[in-house]
Amino acid sequence: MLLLSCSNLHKAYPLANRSVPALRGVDLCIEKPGFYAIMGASGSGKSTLLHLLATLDRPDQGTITLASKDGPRSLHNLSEREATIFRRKQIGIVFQQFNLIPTLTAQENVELPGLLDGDDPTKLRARSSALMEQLGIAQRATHRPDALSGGEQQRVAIARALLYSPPLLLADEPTGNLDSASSAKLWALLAEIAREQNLLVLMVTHEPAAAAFCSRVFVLQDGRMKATIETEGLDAGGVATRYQQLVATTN
Amino acid sequence: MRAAWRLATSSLWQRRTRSLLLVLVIALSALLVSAVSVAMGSLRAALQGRVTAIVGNADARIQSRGSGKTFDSALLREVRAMPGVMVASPRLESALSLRFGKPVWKKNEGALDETHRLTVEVFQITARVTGVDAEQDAKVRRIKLLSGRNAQADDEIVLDQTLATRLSKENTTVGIGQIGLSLLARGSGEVSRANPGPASVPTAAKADELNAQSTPRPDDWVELVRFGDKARRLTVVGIAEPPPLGGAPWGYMTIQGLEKAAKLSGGLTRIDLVLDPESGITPLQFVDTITPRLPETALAQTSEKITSGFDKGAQANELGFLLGNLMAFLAAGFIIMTGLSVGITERQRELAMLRCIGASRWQLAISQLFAGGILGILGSAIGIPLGVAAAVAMLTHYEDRLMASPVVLWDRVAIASCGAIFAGLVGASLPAFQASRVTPLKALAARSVPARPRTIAIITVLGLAGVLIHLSIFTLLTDPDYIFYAYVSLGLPALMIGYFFMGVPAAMIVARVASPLLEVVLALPPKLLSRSVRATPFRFGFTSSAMMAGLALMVAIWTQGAAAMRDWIDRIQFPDGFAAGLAMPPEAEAALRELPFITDTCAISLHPVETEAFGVKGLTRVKTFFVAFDPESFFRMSTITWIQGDEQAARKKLDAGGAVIVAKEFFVARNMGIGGEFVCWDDAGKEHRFEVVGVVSSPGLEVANNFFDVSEDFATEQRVHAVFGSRSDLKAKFGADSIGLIQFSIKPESQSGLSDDASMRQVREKLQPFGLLNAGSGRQIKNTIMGFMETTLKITSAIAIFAMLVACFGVANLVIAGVHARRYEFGVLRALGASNHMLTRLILAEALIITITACVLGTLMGLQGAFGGIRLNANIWGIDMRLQPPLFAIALGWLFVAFMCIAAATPTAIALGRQRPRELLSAR
Repeated sequence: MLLLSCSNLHKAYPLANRSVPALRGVDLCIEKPGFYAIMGASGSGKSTLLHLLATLDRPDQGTITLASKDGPRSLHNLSEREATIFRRKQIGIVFQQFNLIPTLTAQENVELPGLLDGDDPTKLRARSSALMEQLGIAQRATHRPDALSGGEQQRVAIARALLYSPPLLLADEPTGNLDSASSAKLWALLAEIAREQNLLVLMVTHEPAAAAFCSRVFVLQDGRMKATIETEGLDAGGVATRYQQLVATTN
Repeated sequence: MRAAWRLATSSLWQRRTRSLLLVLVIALSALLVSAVSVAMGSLRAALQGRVTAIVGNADARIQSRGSGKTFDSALLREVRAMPGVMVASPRLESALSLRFGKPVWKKNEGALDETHRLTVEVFQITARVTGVDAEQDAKVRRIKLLSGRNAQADDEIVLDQTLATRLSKENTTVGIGQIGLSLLARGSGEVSRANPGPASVPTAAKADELNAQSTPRPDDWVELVRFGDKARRLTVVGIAEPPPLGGAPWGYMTIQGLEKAAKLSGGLTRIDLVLDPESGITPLQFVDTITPRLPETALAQTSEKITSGFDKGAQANELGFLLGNLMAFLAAGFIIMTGLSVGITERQRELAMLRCIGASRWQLAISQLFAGGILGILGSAIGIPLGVAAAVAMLTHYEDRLMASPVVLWDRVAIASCGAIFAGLVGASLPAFQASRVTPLKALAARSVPARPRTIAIITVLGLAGVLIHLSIFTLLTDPDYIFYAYVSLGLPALMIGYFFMGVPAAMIVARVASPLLEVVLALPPKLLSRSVRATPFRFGFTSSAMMAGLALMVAIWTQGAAAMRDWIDRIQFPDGFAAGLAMPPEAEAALRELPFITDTCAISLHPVETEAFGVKGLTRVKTFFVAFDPESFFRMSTITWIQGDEQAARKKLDAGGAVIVAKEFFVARNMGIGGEFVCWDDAGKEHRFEVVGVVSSPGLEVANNFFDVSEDFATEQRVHAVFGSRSDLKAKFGADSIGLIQFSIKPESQSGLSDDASMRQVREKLQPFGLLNAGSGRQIKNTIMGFMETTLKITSAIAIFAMLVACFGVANLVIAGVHARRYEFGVLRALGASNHMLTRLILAEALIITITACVLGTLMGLQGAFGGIRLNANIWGIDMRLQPPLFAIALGWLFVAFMCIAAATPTAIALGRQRPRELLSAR
């Protein structure tokens, strides 16, 4: 059974007096948990694809199916209320900008989805503590975001996304605001999480170095799925070369 | 709910300074409302106390008709024998002239040592004295004694404290409600005290100590002075507490004692009745039963009829309080709304993130309402105790002057508290809606989205609709009562909301017009300022709207106040002088004519009658004066203008009876003119109809009468304007013919050699033995009223300035929010080469745009509000006033608004100028 399946996804956005197509019939299939990347040039549609997978938006055409905790679920036609509740426990999202609430402590930020769901505070506290321990930020639990480094903030964001062990973790350029060393650590962390927690982690990135940590790279170009790169046996340079070849072929 | 609460507290804490400013906005509004409520509550309690003093616990009363009249005391026996009557307490009222020889220790002029010798100063006053049956009267009301006891013998008297004070110092003040003038009598006299004290004392301090005890006290005596009679001693046996809000000085004697003193016999002024509740007889039934048996000189009334005027007045006050509450907190709510809305705009990304991780629209909306509620509760917790404390302190400080103790009506304080929370919730309603509309995707994209023209158009249409609704009330409705209720419930809120919305298009227009000049003057890059406003028109517009309310209030107050002074009081052509008294005999007028500088006199009788020509049905009980005079002298002396009709034709019809001339206000309010009918009711509730035979401008008689206010009924009824009729009608229909006013003309100072004050002094001395309560020149009366109105304008202007101060906190909050939201943009400007001073000037220029918009809107709203008020005055009270903008007040208001806006923006502007580009750029 496919873990995640997208078929013939179309999405266009109105801009001024015209409609700009962002996705023009994208197909995507993932069979098993792991760490995957979506790459493409600016304007290729990768963020749009991520937003559709995160149920933040609806496709104009096409289907999305996810093997959720409650069984296979169609994500393309959820009502807004259904999508909101679905996102709480079934999808984790990590943003480029971290988006932590500055007046809450690190631990309170991690607990935020549970707070929104009205979960038991004691259970919530226990779960968040365990997660923070696992991600190596337990000692920063009582600190506010402005007292954390960029890498620490992003780990807090990851912990928040993992609070309910969602089957799908989406990361939108999570290292965009980090230096290269911190970025590498974060990619390694995401790979480890995918492996140890048996999650499907899908990361949007434009960096070949990030893609090297993933088991497969989906390349988007002009709103279409251009190709898939199996990264086994490839390092960052290899992935970059392969990617450049793909892009150059098109051009 | 827990999540929403946490988000609310978190967002308020995140912007602590701004949250504090918003709390202060509500706190100041709550302070103002609660202070006013304590003041109103205290005044109401004092008036209630006054009503209680008048009515006591009587269920009904039998009253003589006409001031100074009595009815046969045999009626008392008859009434006591009637079923259901538990207490029948008789009263006799009259005016007596009293004299007191006050012991005064004074230093001899030119003496070298400090020795002060005992001398005497004799003070004389005409006061109202009531004869009571102490035992019966105690069952109806309690005369609170400060010292001594009640009068028991015929030559004993109790003085109230006001009377005692007046008998120990001269009071010739011509002031509103100042009756009971006391004069320092010329010539010598003796000390009215058996053992006044030492003949001399060695020091000034000792003299001061003794002089402080010189006011009349038990065991002193006063002399009763009657024209043509030898003076008689009355022993002071007690000093009583004056009724709340002071008023006329009163004395109390036995009924027999007063009969002897006033040379009256066998008559009573009033019988207060307490009915047996178990008898099943209601006060109304009793009045209906007794009325046919009463002589012509008496009428019966239920206490409810007497107090209904007060109750209606209290209702009107309640309505006024609720309306004021609503307007104050609506204004605060708008400021909160703008402040929290800016916060929503700033936090788009944060809100989007919350939506991404599963926050529902409802949770985000509720969190905003929680934030508004928290601001309201905190504002209320700070403002209300301060407001109550401030009002109590002020009232306590002036307790002696007001003769009213502070009273805190906790239900009104609770209403003010609810109003504060309401302001927070109303203010949070739009941000709640905005927060609920955040779509995760759009917010995450974080693109700058210009304000949609359609939204601005909708806001403009709504604004214009509000403005037009206010105006249309006067064009679409004709019934004065409908106009009043529509105005209060719909017109005023529509005006406020309409102008609030108009802030948005107004800010854009002002920016377009004023920006080029401001950019040149403040050396800003071209179009930066105007584009800045165009990019966020709602922020600028609503900030300006927040500021305009205080200015609008000031403009409206001054426009109406100036109109009232200019078109009403100033237009009244008062005669040279008035003397007011209680049932002055005809000899009084003759005595006045003996004075060499008096050229003409006219005796006037006034009697209040109930009318529906003015006021608002269900809310007010209004009386007008039925005025009778000798037509020959009156028309000769008065400088009235005939609006309709002429003197000759009118006098013929007046003499025939059944006709009246009405004041112009009747014509303005009810279109009552020649051929129309004037309907009124007397104290017994009997209807009387008169043909209107003329319409004249006001000669100010009712103003003068209200000015001197000889009646004790001011707490229970409003008395406005006048109709003029014959003496025979006044006597036949209303049983009244006593002289309450004498108007007189005097020679100019150049001819008489006497100043105004000197002339008035002679008039007072001449008329005091005839029951004079006070006298004043027309000029003094007019000047005093104008002075009072000017003082009132200043006090109410203080409220308007306070409102502007409240708005100032809101403006500061919004400026901070605006700067914070654009930090990155400012960082980019700095990175591109803009100086830090330029940023400071830009913020100040934006503050000036807000200032100009607020000034224009505030002036327009104030003038429109004043227009509404003037039209309402014409409809309800018949006072015709013109709308004329008060340029000085407007200019002052503009200066104040400019000062407030610049003061609010300056700290933020300077702080922005101090920040380095890197700090600003890292805000993203």
